[in-house]
Amino acid sequence: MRIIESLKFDMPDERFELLERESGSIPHASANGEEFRNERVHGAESIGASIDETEQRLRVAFHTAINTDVIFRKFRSGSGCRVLLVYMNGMADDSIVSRFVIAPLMQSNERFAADIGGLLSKVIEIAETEVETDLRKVKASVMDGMTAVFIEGCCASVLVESRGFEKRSVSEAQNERIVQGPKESFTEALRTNITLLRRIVKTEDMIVEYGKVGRENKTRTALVYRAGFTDETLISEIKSRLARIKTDIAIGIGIIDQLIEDDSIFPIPRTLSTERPDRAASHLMNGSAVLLAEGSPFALVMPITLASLMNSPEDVYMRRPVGTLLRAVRYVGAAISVILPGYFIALAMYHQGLISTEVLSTIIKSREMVFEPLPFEMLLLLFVFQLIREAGMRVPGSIGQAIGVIGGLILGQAAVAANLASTVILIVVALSGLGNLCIPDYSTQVGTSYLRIAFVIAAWLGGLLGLATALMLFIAYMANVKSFGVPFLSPFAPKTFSRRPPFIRGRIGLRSKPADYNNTAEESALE
Amino acid sequence: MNLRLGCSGIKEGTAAASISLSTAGVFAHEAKKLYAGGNMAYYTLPASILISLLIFVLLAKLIKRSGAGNLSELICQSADRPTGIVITLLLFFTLIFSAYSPLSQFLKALHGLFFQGASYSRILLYIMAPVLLICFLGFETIARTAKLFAVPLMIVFLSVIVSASSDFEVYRLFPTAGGGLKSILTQIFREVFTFLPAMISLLTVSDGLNGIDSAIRIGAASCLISAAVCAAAQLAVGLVFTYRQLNELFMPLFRINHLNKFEAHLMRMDKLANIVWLNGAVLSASFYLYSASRLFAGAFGLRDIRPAIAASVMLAALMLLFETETVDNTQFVRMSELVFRYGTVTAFPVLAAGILSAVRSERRKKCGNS
Repeated sequence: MRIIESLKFDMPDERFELLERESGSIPHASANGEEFRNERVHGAESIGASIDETEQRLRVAFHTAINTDVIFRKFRSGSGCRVLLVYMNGMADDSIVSRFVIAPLMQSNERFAADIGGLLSKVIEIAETEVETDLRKVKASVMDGMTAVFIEGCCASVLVESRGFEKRSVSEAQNERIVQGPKESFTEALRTNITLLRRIVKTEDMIVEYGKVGRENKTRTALVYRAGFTDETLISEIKSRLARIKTDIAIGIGIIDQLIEDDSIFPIPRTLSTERPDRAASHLMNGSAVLLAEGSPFALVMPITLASLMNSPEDVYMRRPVGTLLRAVRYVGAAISVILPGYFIALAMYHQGLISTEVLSTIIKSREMVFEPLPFEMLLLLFVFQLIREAGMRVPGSIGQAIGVIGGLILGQAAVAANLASTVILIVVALSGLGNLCIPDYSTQVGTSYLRIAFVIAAWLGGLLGLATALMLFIAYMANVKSFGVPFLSPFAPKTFSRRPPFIRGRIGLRSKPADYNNTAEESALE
Repeated sequence: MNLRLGCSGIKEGTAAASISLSTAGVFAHEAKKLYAGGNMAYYTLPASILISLLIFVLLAKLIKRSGAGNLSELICQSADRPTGIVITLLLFFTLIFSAYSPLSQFLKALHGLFFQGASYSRILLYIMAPVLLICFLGFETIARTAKLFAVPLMIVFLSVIVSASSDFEVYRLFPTAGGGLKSILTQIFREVFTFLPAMISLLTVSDGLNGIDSAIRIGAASCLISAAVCAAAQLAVGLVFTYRQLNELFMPLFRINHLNKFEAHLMRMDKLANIVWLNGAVLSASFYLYSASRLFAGAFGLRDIRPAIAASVMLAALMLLFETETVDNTQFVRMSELVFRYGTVTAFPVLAAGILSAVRSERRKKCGNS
């Protein structure tokens, strides 16, 4: 549908531009980020003065006849006021509710029906409280683990922070492991993740803006950025994209990522999904924004460039020459991964003159008994590689490793023995696979692994010319792509301010300046 | 408006213009004309580039003086609408011809050296598909892609020249001025047409280059770079082949290693080099065709550039097909020779339009003040 839309003539180009806008203001951006709350415009649902009526309404809304998870606790306070407490069993911590809400209320002699402020300042012993008059928001907060306190005769509710559900403790990063540097990773708890970030980013300008995404399930999200430093247009663009999410269900950061990205055709991601707090914090300090979601052990960093997808946190923890070498190896590995299978097919099928006689005879000899044509053989082995990788990912740790060994060694050897594959092609595919695994970002790994299949087909159809055409199209498309307004290939093209090519790791002391392409307030001041 | 112009910096603009100028200077030539009077291309081509730069700067100053944003606006302001359209169409066809010219050389090279069994139209499909897509993505993408390809193109160019250096012989450069001063001047004047379209393209997209002053800087930088590239290429070719050999050779830079080191290991590189240079030709053609479409869209008030792009790419493809696939193309070849010979004169109506526009603008300013 998007392709058809983009092909319509005489339609304005509404791509969001952060650095280079042709004219006018950013489309759809809300000035103050109000829309981030993403509320359906149905009007507020007021709270009645009678707690019996409120209880009845809530019981109907939560289907308490069959749903026994919601706890309704009615009692009289020390002064004789009727009080109703509503919270979700399992989501709220019972001991917090008993010790810091029920007990003080029962002991209090204050009459606070007309003075809800008194209840907050003198009775409830919890720091994080909020007065709410909209019953819809109260229901959402109860679902989220908060406790709602209703007082007879008062048309408002006090929401008390009492979340206390079970959660996984902070553990070691599974997908972005490094040898040197911190080991901890994000968890499924939003609050814990924010704390992990705050422990690293100790600047007073770090802002955490909460919001809800999804019309029905309302996943809690937190947009983290540095106020007065991160580009304001970027922040308002992210907020406006979040506000435009129309879907009913948005579970996890992976779905939210797809709902706010520029387009879904491009195989390489336009946001960085990381499980490492240090990596997210580094981008945050550099002027990017980070999005966290309840239930997702990943942070979404935006905007990003190809260079940031190719960097690993390890680069900066290692000494400079080693870090540079690691980066260079990674770039070469990625290039091998994408180009080598297609290049081999092009040479072997169309341009044998470019291969030396010795190598050519080795190839011919190794393929003597193989029954399928060369490109089929390559595609088959690439598919088998994907198969092994997928199987290895889906089964538990040690068995997954065993599958890799079985697939790589035994299956490969058996395939050669059974004349299903030749040794040369096996080496090419293995090299390409190894190169692919050098790419630090998982989504980029998967994207490029499918891309090389496209390059093999292009080389099969047109030899080096076909491969060159496919590469040209790919590079041109990458040059056109933007991540939240930032050109995806910067600082390569456009050449933004940088002391060195991104594959050379700089001196730590010189890294205090934020990335130019992020257009931070510091950059603007320097201009 | 959907003109897909975007905004490009100095380095990206310089890369796009340099690749276009260098591709034109190194590949888009008729050997018989260029080396007819001796081995003098290594200094006549840089001289032609410098003349193109002078015309470019003059036009840029006129654009600035008249208050126009780009060349298209300058032409439209100069006279009445029909005159503006005529001049625009003249430039439009000039740019399409400039896009066709290097692609034609590469198409023949690919057919003759890589894919003898394949038809021209099939090879053309692989060349025109990226041209169309890149043009559709707009000038910003063209400039950024050019920036990315600039370094590999330069590396391949230098490595080819360095690998041929063992065969350099100074005596092959003679005669350096075979036809005398007249022939040198004629060649310099004629070759201006090779480089002028790139400069015109730069002026057409000047509003996407952060203004006309930035465009002037880009023009100057790219002229210097491509003058050096063209001089180096022609000098290397001249040092390896005599001018009589060059008269017979097709794409001599490609053959520089192929002929002399047939058995050497490096001969395997020449096909790869040709493929890399093809990318330069594709980018250069995209730049010309986008600019041609921009001129067309400006003159006819098109709000969306893509129909014009589709038409320009189609036109260039048809020219290539007409040259290669028709049985009798002598008329077409003769016509293209004429364009090569007298193409430089296209600068005059554009300059006249520019001067007229600047004068009109001055008059308007005076009337406004009084």
